[in-house]
Amino acid sequence: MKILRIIKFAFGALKNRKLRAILTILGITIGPAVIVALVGATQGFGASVTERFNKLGLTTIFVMPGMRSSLRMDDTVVRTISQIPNVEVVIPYYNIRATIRSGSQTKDISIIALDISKLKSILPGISLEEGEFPKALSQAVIGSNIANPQDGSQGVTLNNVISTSINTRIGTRIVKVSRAFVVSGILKPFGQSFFINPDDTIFVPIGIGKSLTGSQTYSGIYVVARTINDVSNIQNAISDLYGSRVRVVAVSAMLSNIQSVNESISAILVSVAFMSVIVAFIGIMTTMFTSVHERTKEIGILKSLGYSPRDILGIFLAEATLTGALGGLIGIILGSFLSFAIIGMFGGGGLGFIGFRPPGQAATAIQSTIITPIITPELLIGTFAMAVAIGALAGLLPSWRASRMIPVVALRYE
Amino acid sequence: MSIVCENVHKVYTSGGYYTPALRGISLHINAGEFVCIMGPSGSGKSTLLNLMGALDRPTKGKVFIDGVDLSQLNDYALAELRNQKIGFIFQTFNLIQRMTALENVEVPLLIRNIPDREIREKARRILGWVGLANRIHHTPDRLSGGEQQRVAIARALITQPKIILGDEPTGNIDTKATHSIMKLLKYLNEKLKITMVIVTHNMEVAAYAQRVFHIRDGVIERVVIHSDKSKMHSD
Ligand SMILES: Nc1ncnc2c1ncn2[C@@H]1O[C@H](COP(=O)(O)OP(=O)(O)OP(=O)(O)O)[C@@H](O)[C@H]1O
Ligand SMILES: [Mg+2]
Repeated sequence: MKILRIIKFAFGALKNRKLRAILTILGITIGPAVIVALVGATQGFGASVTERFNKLGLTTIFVMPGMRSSLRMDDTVVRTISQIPNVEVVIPYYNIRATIRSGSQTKDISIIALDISKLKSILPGISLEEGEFPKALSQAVIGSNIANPQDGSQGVTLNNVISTSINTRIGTRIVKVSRAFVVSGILKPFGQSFFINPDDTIFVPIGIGKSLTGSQTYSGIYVVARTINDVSNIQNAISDLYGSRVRVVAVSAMLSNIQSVNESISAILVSVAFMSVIVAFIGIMTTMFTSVHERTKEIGILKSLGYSPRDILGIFLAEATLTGALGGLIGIILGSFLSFAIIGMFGGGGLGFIGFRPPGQAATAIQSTIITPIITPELLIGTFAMAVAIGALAGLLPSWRASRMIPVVALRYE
Repeated sequence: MSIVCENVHKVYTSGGYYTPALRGISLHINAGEFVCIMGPSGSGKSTLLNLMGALDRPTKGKVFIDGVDLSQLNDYALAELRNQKIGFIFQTFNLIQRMTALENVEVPLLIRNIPDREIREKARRILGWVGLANRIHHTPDRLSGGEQQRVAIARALITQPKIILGDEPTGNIDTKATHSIMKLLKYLNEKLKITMVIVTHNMEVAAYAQRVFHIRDGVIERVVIHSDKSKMHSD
C-alpha cells in the first residue's frame, strides 16, 4: 500500500474519533513543548552568560590581598607572577575609594589607577563612547554612570573637569584630599561585572595611584592568561607561591560554576519532560489498543478484501505515528512560544540572578541585557522526530496485534 | 474458477470446548457455476464458505482454488488471492461505517498499484452500474439494506473477481430487494462467468442456483440439481 494512501486512511480513522484523537494529541504535546521551551530558554540563558563573561575576559585572573595576613603587593610580586608560564600580561592597579559631587549629593565611586593601555586585556568588552584614553597624568576616562548619572542629576561631559574627594593616609593620619581630572574619554555602558564596575569607575594612569596613596603597595593585580586553558594552572601557581596571603579569582571559574548550575537545572527539568514523554507513550498505546479493539470488525473486513498483515500493520502504525507527529508539531510550536515566556519571567534581570556584586561598590541600576531563547532547527527537528518515534513505538504492539488477527475471528466480532 | 474441497474438517477450539463444525466435506464446484449452500443454523455453512474464501484454514483436509492447494500458501499469498480472485458479500453487508459508498468501494483497490484517479473512476462506474449513481457520497447509515448490499456487491466487483462468496447476502433485506440482488448476481454469473457460492435459508434464493448443497451437522446431506432453464443458459 502506498504511503500516502496509508496516511489518508489513518487520517480518516482519526477524524472519525475526533475528540479522542485530540485528547491523545494534547497528551503528547506537553512533552515536546516542555523540552523545546526549557532547552531553548536555558540555552538562551547560557549563551547570554557566556557572552557576558567574554566581555569580562575569560582569561582574566584577579589577584587580591588575602583576608588575614595579606601579601604586600609590590613590583617584586608583579615580576614573580610575570614569570609563571603562559602569563600574557600582569597589570597591577590601585583601587581608590572616592566620592564625587553629584547634584546636591555625594556619590561613592572607585578610582582605578592602572596602565590604561592594558585595560582592554582585562575587560575585553570595554570601549569608548567618545573621546580617548588618557595620555597625561591629569586626564581620566570615566564610566557611563558618572558621565550620565542614573538619578538624572547633572553629569560630566568630555573635556570637563571632574572633582573627586579621596580619603588618603599620610603617615598614620587619614586626610581628605581633593583631586580633579580632565575627562578625556567616556566609556560605553558596560553592565555588571566582578570586582570592577566600569560604569561607576574613573580610570586614571597608574602614576596617579602612587601619588594618591603614597605607597608602593598595589590594591591588586590583574593577571591575564595566554588562553583560557592556562587559567587554572596559573591560578594554582599563584596559590602555590603565596597561599592564603592572596585571594585568586578567575572569571572563567565563575562561568563554569554558573554554567554547571544552569546545566543541572535544565537537566532536572528535561528529566521532568522525559517523564511526560513516557506518559505520552502510554497514552498513545492505550488509545491504539482501544482503537484496534473497537475496529476489530473493520480489520476483519479489510482482511476479507485482501489486506495483508503488513497492510494492516501499516494502517495502525500510521495512525499512531500521525498522532505522535501532530502532537510533536503542536508541541514544538507551543514550546517555542513558551521559552520566550520563561525568559520573560526569569530573565529580566540579566545577570542579576547571580546575586553577585563587588563589595564596597555602589549598587547601580541593573543593566538588563536582552536574553533571547536559542531555538535551533536541530532542537525543533530532534524533538519533533522524538514525538514521531514515540508515536510509532507506542503503536507497534497494538498494530502488531491488529495485523495478526485471524480474518474470520475478526469478522465475527460485533 | 473452480473450488474443490477434499475431506475438509474444521474443529473450533475455544474456551476449552471442541466444536466440530465440519466433519469431512468433499465437493467440487465448477468454474462459472452458481451453487447455493443450505442447512439448519449451526450446520457449518459459514464455516465452509470461509474456508473456500481463504479466510480460515481447515483443521484437516484440503481446499483448492483453481487447482491451487491453499494449505501451501502463506498468509500473504492468501491475502493476495482474496484480493485478486475472490469477492465476499455478507448478511450484515460489512461496510466501513465512516466511509461513503464511493470510499467503501475503493478500499480493495487501495492496496494495488493503481493511480487514485483510476480507482475513483472505476468505483463511480460500478456504483452507477449497480444503480447507486445518486448515492455515492452517502455513508452506510443513510442507505437502505438493499442499497448497502449493492455497495457491498460493487466493492466485491471492483477487483473483477473470479469467485463471489455470499454468506446469506439477502438475509437482512426484503423480498423485492432480494430478487433484484439475486438477478444481479445471476447476471454476473452468466455474463462474466463469475463462480457464485451463496449460503441461504431462502428457497426462492436457492432457486437461482444450478446446484444446492444441503448441509447438516458438518456433512453434506444431499445435493439437489436444478435442471431448469437457467442451467441451460450457462451451458
Ligand atoms: N469461531 C468459532 N469458535 C467456536 N465455535 C464456532 C466458531 N464459529 C462457529 N462455531 C461453531 O461452529 C458451528 C458451525 O457454525 P457456522 O457459523 O458455520 O454455522 P452456520 O451454518 O453458518 O449457522 P447460521 O445459519 O446460524 O449462520 C456452530 O456450532 C458454531 O457455534
Ligand atoms: Mg452462518
